[in-house]
Amino acid sequence: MKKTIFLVLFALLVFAVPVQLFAALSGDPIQTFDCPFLLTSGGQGAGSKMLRLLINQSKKFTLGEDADFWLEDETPERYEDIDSGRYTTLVIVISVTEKGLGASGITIEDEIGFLKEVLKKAKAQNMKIVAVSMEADARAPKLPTNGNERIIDLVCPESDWMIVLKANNSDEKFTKISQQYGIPLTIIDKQMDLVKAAPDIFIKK
Amino acid sequence: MEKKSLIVKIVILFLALVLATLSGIEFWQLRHYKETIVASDDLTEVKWFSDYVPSLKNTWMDTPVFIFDSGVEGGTVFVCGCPHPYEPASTMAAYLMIENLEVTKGKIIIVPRANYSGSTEGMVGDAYPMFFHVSSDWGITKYRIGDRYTNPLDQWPDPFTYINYPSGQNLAYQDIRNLNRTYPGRENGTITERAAYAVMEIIREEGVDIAIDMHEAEILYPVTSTYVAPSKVLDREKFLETGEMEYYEPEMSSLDVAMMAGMNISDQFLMKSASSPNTLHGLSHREWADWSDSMTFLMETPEIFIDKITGPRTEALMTEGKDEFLQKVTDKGLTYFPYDMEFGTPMWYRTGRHLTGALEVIYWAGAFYPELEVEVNWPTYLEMQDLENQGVDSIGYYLKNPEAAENADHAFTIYYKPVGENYDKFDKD
Repeated sequence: MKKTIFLVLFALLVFAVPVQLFAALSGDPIQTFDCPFLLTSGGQGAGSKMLRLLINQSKKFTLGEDADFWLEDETPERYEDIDSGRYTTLVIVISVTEKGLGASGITIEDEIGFLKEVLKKAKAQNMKIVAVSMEADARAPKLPTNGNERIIDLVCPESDWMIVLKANNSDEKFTKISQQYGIPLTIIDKQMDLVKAAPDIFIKK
Repeated sequence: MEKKSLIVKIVILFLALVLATLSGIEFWQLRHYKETIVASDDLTEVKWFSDYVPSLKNTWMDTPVFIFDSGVEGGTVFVCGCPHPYEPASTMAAYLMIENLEVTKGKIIIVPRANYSGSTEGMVGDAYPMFFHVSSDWGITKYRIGDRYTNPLDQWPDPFTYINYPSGQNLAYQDIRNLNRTYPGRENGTITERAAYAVMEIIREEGVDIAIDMHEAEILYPVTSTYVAPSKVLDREKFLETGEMEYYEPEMSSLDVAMMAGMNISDQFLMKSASSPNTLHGLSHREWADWSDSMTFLMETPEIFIDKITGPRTEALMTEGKDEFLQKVTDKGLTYFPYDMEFGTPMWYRTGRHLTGALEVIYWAGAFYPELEVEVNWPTYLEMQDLENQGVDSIGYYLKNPEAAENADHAFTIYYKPVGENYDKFDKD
């Protein structure tokens, strides 16, 4: 009897633990990118600052202009950072909020114009581009005219990898972009999953 | 002929007076209905807005302030309930905090009805119930729904345009009676501005480190289900010297705390984060941070009762939040909250969100800045969810019976002036 219980527990351990470990990520495998990377917001929402917090929580990276990564949401400062050639990867967190745009004193049209230039400059520097959508329910409402949809349409097709919160892909918009442009797409269940994933994504030289 | 005409006029006048009296009784009942709560054993002091702004004494904007001091050095937290009375989960959360609070480090200050006057009327021109009810095993209690604004009986008339002080920003005329548009307030302003000033004085005089403002919002409003916190604050000295508004990043970031809190509770409920605009004035998340040294947070829950496209505004709409019209709008992807009519947005859910949302902010503020650490407990969202799954009214479960003999020493009637002897033990006069 004891042997049976032991075998059942052992089987549970063998089969259940990996499911727990890998349930948080789905879709294409995690891609790797070199440090230092530049983090910026696509839409002046809080998303880029949230990702900065999660990366800090991993305790593996140092924030600083000449360190592992740097956060810059403002223009023209982010143009200058890209032009400096210090960064090999650009991470754009798609995150539009009216409050964020208001806090920056700009309109969505201004931000789209800035991001076009950001993408152009990053390509000129041969930077890899990572598109992130990780702010919970950031895409509500899902109207084509909504700021988030416009920035997804601008940034994602230009990216090398997309990493997206499961809830934000409920209409499979990111899946369709992935298929149309052949861009790998990884889905995360929860924002906090990025704390564990960050050291596997960003490689310190 | 003239005599007959006079009799008809008198009869019509009499009928009009009867009708006015009958309808007036309901307004009078709402105006004077008194809610009673039972404070936890950890209560150490009760103050009033009028202790901070004496001219508020005996006005309908005076209101009690409950203070729970552990006596152990730590952070000081201020929680503002009922800034907009028609967002009543805010008040219910404050009541549940006051009744169940246990603090072992730091100090907690709670105002359950910050705009008392606004809770004594309904929105002019809108038809909805005056009260909602909560069931406990000891009985059924009713609570006011109230208005968004200060009662016009207490502050009237409104100007053509309201100009916020000291920013000079033009706001809608009725916002002169909106507590959350009149911050930082004025000591000698309207009674709403004076109440706003009293809140600022509580934050400044009591040395508040973490200030939390509890609200509810329509699901057609982008900021529903969100923490709002400033990433930058006003350079006060420069503004007072030159009138120029310049903002800088403070050493302690409210927005960082809010974002971590929101992400950490995302497996319980959706809580987004938004940065407070520097250019929109009069709101708590802007002005509390600009005119004090506290970290400030505004929390919004989803309250469909105040969405404009619902069916009839019944008590069930307030307490259960089930509406087929909003479901259709949500199905078309037009709302800012993943609304599901099957579950709705019940009162316990919104109250529980505030309770856990506030605890999470307090926890992360202490994790980021250890000198602000506070150890406090009150009922949480998950505990309430567990009770609801067992068929128990979780709000009622955590409310204590003010009529019970064992609670007599801790029962406090919430009114614009002290009612009952319990306030006497804190009366400095």
